[in-house]
Amino acid sequence: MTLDTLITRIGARWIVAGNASHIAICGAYAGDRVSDLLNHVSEDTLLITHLSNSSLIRLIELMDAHAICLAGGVEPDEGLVTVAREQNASLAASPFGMYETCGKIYAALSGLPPGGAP
Amino acid sequence: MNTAIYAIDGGNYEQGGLASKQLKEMLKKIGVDASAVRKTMIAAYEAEMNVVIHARKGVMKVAVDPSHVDVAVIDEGPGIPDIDRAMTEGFSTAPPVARELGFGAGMGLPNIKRNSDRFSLQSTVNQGTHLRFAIYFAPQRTEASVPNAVHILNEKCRQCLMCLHACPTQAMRMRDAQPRILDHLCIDCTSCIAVCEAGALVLNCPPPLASPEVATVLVVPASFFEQFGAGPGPSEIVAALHGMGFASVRSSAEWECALRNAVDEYAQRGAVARPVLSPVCPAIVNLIQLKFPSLIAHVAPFLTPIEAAREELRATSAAFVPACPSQQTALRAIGTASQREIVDPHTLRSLVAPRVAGTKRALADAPQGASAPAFEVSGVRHVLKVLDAIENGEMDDCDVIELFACDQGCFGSPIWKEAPFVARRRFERTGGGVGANDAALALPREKTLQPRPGLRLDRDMARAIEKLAQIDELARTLPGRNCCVCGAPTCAALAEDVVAGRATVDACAYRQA
Repeated sequence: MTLDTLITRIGARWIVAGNASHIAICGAYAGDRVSDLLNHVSEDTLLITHLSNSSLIRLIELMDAHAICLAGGVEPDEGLVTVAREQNASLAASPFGMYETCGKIYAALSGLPPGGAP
Repeated sequence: MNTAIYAIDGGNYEQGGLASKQLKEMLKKIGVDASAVRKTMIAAYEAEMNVVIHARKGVMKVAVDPSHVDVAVIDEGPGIPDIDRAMTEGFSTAPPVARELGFGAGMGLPNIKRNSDRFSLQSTVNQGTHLRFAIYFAPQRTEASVPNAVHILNEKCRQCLMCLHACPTQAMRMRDAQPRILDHLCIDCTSCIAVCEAGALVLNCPPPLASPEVATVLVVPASFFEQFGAGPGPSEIVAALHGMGFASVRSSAEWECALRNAVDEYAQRGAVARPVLSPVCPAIVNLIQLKFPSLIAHVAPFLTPIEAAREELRATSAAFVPACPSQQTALRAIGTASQREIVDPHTLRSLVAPRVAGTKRALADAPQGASAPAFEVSGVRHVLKVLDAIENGEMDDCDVIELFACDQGCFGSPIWKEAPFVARRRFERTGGGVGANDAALALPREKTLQPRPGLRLDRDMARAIEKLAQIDELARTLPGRNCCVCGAPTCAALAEDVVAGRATVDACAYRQA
């Protein structure tokens, strides 16, 4: 699924869209510890986190990933937005908590209807 | 070998990751495969952020060659008071500012270790930390050749077949009238070199001698000091090396002493398994990994002295003189992030000999600090018997054992000219004091030793059992003379070669059809 379709389906909003229409996403990884994110984020994963600082962009860049979705209504740090723009990375924010955000992503990627299991 | 150095700015979170990013660009340019880049990035980023979080400043030194990348991250910072704790998952001393950013979860060092193929960590409180890791680009496979440093000069071989008889792991073969080493079985001991009277098997050492301008520190095996007859002793040899321009000469005995002390202390404070085997000889460590994997837990978790010397001097422009192939391999095993040269012992000996000709050794004071090992076994045949006995649980009465592949330890390496017993006695009487200082360190082995799968017939156990049956059946049809004429060391080895597709049964001249 392309990143922009996914972000629309889960009810999140764009802060920096980047190349969202060209990025294919197959999974997501949620976490707030950099060490965990390093081990689990790759090219086609969407990173879900409460962290909001510019180091995240360097992290996804090193791990070949493209996109971050902030969860739990976290507002992006100014530096993060600036660096995301500079690096053309994709940054979205979801109003839902991490659990719900992940549930919505799971449903969208598994082809379930938005409301959950059929 | 391509090298690069990137600076890291302590406390600068904005720039944190830039060094890793530069490293990534470099790896991509040379076409390293994605999974190796990924592992390197995880380790490099964690290491870099550790400098940002904890230190004032640091550097990332990188060396890349076609087989692996070697990264050293060296910082000036508070150092790590307790490395064991620092390696524990979840332990962190990161300040709140780092934790707010998602760092400092206490996963960094374990993460680096997990993602690297080699890992070492040294730290001095209030000075700084040296972290070093390496990642191999291609995974090492069962049959993949393990590097060794025994070199074959085909033209000198007289096909006496002595090396086939001598090899303790049956790694030698004669193929097309030339000796061949099955790399996956070779442990880099010196058995084949020792029996080769034709000089066809030698230590594989690059000929050029490191110049004193390049190498300020020269590390010389203790046994080297006694290769000049009864006349000159260690002090005279050291003086001659100084005369050649080497500013500092250090003896391997320093690291051997440091290891001995560390292993004794490890044995006292509660070793995992007894008797404790001291990893003093790299060839014996190889032997244990290959033939006695069940004894790996007995090996004290320290680097061999030559590896410790290599690690300790990695930031220095040091040159090393190996005493045998296994030391040579240990030095070469991994590229380095600094100037490191290997000096051919024969070349060095021929350069030193004229400088010390006619000198008489000064009678040194009674050797100090050169403690004797509690229990030493040398010579690979004896070592095999002892390891067998340990495996059978017959050695419970021993605490610490030092095992050497060569008779009389490194004094017995076949690359030396002097008789081992004589050289060692001379050294212990007059030269024991050389290198007996506290300067050298015993370094912990951070990556546990892994069994070497060289003996396994097949990766799949069912197929391995099948092959074993085939080998047994075939071996029964062979005469059992173990004559080596077929080119395999024993009839059973020929049967194994046939089943493994390395030979045909026609090679046997005496088989009754």
